[in-house]
Amino acid sequence: VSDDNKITLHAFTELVASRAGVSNVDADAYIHQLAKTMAEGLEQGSEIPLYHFGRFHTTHVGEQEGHDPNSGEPLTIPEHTRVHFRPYSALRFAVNAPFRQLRIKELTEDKTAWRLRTRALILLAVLVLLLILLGISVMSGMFSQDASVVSAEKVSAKVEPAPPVDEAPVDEAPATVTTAPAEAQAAPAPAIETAAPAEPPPPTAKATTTVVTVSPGDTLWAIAESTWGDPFWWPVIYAENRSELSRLNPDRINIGIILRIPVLTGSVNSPSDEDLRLKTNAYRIVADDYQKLENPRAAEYAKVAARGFKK
Amino acid sequence: MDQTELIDQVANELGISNAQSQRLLKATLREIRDLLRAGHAVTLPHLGTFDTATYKEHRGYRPASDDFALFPKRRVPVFRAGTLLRDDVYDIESDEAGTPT
Repeated sequence: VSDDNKITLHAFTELVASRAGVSNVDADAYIHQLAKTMAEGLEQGSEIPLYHFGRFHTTHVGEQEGHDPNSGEPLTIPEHTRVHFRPYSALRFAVNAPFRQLRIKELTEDKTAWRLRTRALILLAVLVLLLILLGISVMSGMFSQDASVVSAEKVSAKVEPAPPVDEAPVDEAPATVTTAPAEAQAAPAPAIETAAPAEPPPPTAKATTTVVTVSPGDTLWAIAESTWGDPFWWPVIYAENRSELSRLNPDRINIGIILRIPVLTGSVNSPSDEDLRLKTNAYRIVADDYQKLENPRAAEYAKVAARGFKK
Repeated sequence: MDQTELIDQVANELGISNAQSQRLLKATLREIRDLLRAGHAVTLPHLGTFDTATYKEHRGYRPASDDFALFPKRRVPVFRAGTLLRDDVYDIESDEAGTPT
């Protein structure tokens, strides 16, 4: 404690007066009276709490041995009362404002912290493991489903387009949007019902030609298969009936129209040269029609037609 | 003696209203607080000195963690009773104890 930071009573009185809005004389009188009253109160042994400031209180000290600080001689200190001032936190914080940002530093690091940290780590690891397991189970479920579906598709695909060139199914389509082609073929196939051969005993002229009426679900592919036992001959039917088909779309034939099934000189399994020529021409026609429709199948059919068929 | 009693007594002694006494007390305490915050020391006559003490960074025991820690530098308000007050209180107590000084 040095003297250079001390405020004189005069200056202090002026400050208090300006703050309270009273004259200096009044403030001075008040400060003196306040100090005297507080001293009296402390002499009576009571404590004085001051709101947001601090608390004055007294403690009683018993008789104790001491020594004279100047001479070092021992002497007895009589029992007496001390005055204490305990600042409240508002005053403490105000005074400590310059060092408010400083914090207590640990000398030895917390030896229990690692437990919490490892526990957190273990928790995290378990969570990650659970997530991975969950993901694996979900993915395996998806794959198994996929596998079943895919196998089914593969099976159907093997059944149908295993041979080099394939089908061009479909008829019906009463103004429908085409469904997925693979499905569409698969479905109608069983429904073939060559109910049409009701006609075979042809009351009409040509006894040589079989006639088939297209019923819903029929496809050229299916008709060829049911008629000859080999669906890859369907372009022959298409080529034979092309003049009657209004759409000129091998994939779309109208329900109810009557298709003429050309008579083969040989059989499907042992075709004659004429039959093979017929088949090649039919494939070329189909390829042309597909080309006009900008159907990507055109290329395949054109290739097959160009290669031609051999025994 | 609590704050209201103190205000009452001072008002009676000076012949001013309680409100005025309270206002003056508040002004005095706040002025002391502001001066202490600025690092000054204030002496009230017959009572004692309000001052600030700066503690250096020091090692101390912390019961919460049951360990020692490094406490930061801090400044605290301190009050030292004046000799008059000390004598008064001292004399009273010694009189009670029957050993006049």
